[in-house]
Amino acid sequence: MSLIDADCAALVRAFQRRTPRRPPASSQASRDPMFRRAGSSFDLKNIREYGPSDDPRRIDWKLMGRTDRLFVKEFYEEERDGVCLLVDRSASMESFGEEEASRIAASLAWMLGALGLPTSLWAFSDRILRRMDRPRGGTSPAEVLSFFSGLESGGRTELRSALASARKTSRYRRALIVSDFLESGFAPRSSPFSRSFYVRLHRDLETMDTGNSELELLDQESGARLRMPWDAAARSDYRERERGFDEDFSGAAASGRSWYRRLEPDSDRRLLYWSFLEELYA
Amino acid sequence: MPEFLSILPFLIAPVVALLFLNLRLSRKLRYPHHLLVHDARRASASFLLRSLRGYYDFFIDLAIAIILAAAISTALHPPFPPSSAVVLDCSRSMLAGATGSRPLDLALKSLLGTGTYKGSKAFALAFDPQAMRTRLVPLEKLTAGLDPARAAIALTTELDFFSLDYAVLGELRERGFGRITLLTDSLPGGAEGLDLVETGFAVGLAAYPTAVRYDRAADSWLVALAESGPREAIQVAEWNGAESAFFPARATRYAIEEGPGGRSLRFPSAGLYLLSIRGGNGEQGIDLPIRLPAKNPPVAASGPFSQLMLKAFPLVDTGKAPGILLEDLGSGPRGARAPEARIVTALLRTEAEGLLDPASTGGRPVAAGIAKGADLAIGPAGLANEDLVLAYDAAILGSADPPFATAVPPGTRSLLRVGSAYLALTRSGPFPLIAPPSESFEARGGPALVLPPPRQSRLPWALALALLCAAKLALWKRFSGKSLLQA
Repeated sequence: MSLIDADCAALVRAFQRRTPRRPPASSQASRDPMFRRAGSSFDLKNIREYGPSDDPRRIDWKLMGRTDRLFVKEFYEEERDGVCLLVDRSASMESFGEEEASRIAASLAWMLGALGLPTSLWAFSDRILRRMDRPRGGTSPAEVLSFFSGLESGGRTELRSALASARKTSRYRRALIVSDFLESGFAPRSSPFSRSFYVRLHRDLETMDTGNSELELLDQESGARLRMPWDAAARSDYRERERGFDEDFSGAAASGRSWYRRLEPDSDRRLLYWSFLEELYA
Repeated sequence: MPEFLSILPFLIAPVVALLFLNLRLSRKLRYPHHLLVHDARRASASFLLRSLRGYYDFFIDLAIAIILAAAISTALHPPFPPSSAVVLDCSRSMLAGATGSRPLDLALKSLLGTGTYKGSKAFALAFDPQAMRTRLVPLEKLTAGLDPARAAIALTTELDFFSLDYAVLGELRERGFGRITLLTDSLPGGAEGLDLVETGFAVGLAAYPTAVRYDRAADSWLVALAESGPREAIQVAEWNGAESAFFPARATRYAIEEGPGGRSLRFPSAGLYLLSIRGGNGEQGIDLPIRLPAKNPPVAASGPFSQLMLKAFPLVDTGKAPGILLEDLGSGPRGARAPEARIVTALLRTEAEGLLDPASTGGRPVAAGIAKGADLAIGPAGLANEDLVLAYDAAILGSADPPFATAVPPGTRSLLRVGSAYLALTRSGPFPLIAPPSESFEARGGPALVLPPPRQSRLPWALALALLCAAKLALWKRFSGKSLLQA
């Protein structure tokens, strides 16, 4: 549990107690097809004769044409939609703190599993570094920890291709992205997922020891060096760009297709976890 | 300069260390460039401006270190030693003795006849009757081109030789003089903070009034003199209030009696007199203006006990304008009607444990206590003591106007020179002012004069440091765009 925040277990318990729509506890009966509840999925469970209490709209008319009897099809209940969790491991995450970023992503991954949600974990930078599916979730942290164990970092941020790959190969329609989103041309509205949860890990440059004069910055991803006067104009410009960046994500969130939170180092992560869970089940 | 060079490295070292840390550690960061300016600003700024912006802190700290090193080294060893001053004592005692061998002549020979004080600014410490205070007079104009003998004549003509306030020498410190030399006859007890050159105390013709009182037995006024040197003739003059001048008194108006310690003069009436003794052998004369007090001091009483006590003094004047008031504690008049001299008596219900000052009772023991606001606190035993009246007699005599003053009395409008003495012109009339006797210069346990050490002006250094610090704050605000409260 070293990589998973200690408060996560309590948060999950509190959320399950508080939320009436909490997912049912996993049991052997729920996993056995014989006992699975009928529902509205496309997974056929049974065909039986029409009864007075059945919905006439579910009558199989083709079968009636062949047999002159009324039959209805029963399908399994649709499985709860899982979540793809994409974790940015690009070199720029160093600014926020790689270990801190891993801790946040691992905590979120574990909480999703502990709530019984199917999860697909993805780690990416300029390529897909690792993938793990947890179709049934689970409270054991071992799988989550093994996913993050030895996970390499470095390279550029290629979020668009990572999102496309995840959407293409996963059946889940929701994605939680933990990243700094520092990819030129990435638009939060262009996510291929039907609902995207953006968690931006950000360290403000002004909180660093910048001094008041010339500033030399090394970009971790490109290796480029930027020497610039760190004066009032540069500070103002930086703040303006930061504000615009946030407004892009907040605007996308306002459309309802996404949710956005910015997290600074050493800030209270429990608020982030809780608001994410509430949004997930909203 | 050597001190400056030895101090500077210690002060520059932390500045250089900060520069090193600034260059090597603080300003190079690993941070993504996505949200930062990529335009041409980083290249368009001129090299000099960018350098200044990068290292202004270093340059200002360097300047502060240099200024501090200069200030410290200057404080340790002033590059320009403060100028020196030599001061000629022009007190009355400098004129004692025969012309040519007076302390003034010896001091002038040392000052003008030798090159000892070449380069020093010369002053005379003399009494200024116009300002009624001691002041420093530059000697250059008074003694320019004169030999010591002529200079002595010029000084005795131009300056007033009287009693001096030596604390005025402290003004030289404030003017920036570091080394101060005082040429004097004698300054018992010595001095701190200046050099003393003593020519020796000359004992020549001297006369000083030791007792001035009304002699009831002879029904005349007595002036007793303490004298030294040859007994030269005494000339007596009497003050004419209408003419505001002294006129020679007729021989019938006074009598001179010879005594072992000095002569005594008797006058038949009170008034203001001038005793003049002209010395031979070129010695300075002595002029002693003396005011003889009224025969019966004007005394009034307030309160039952004081009125009773006043009846024990039948010779006092109980006229309308009393100068002395005997009063019981809490019974006297208040405000402008109250005389300046008051003798307040408190009657104690219990027995007092102390005694009155034997000097005020002729050596007789009289029991007395202490009471707030009272000059005399008398208990039952003191009231029963028949010698108590002596204490009141001494108090009345002590409260009467003195025959002369040795310092300018308060309320003096101007001074009128009378030979070697003065008349202080006050609202109540002329009052004699004579120089104190030489005994007043005797040592009293500590240095007679203490001057503060020379001060070096620290204001220029402080101003320079303040300007640099202000520039530092202004540049920081300019480059950072933050207010000082955000710092």
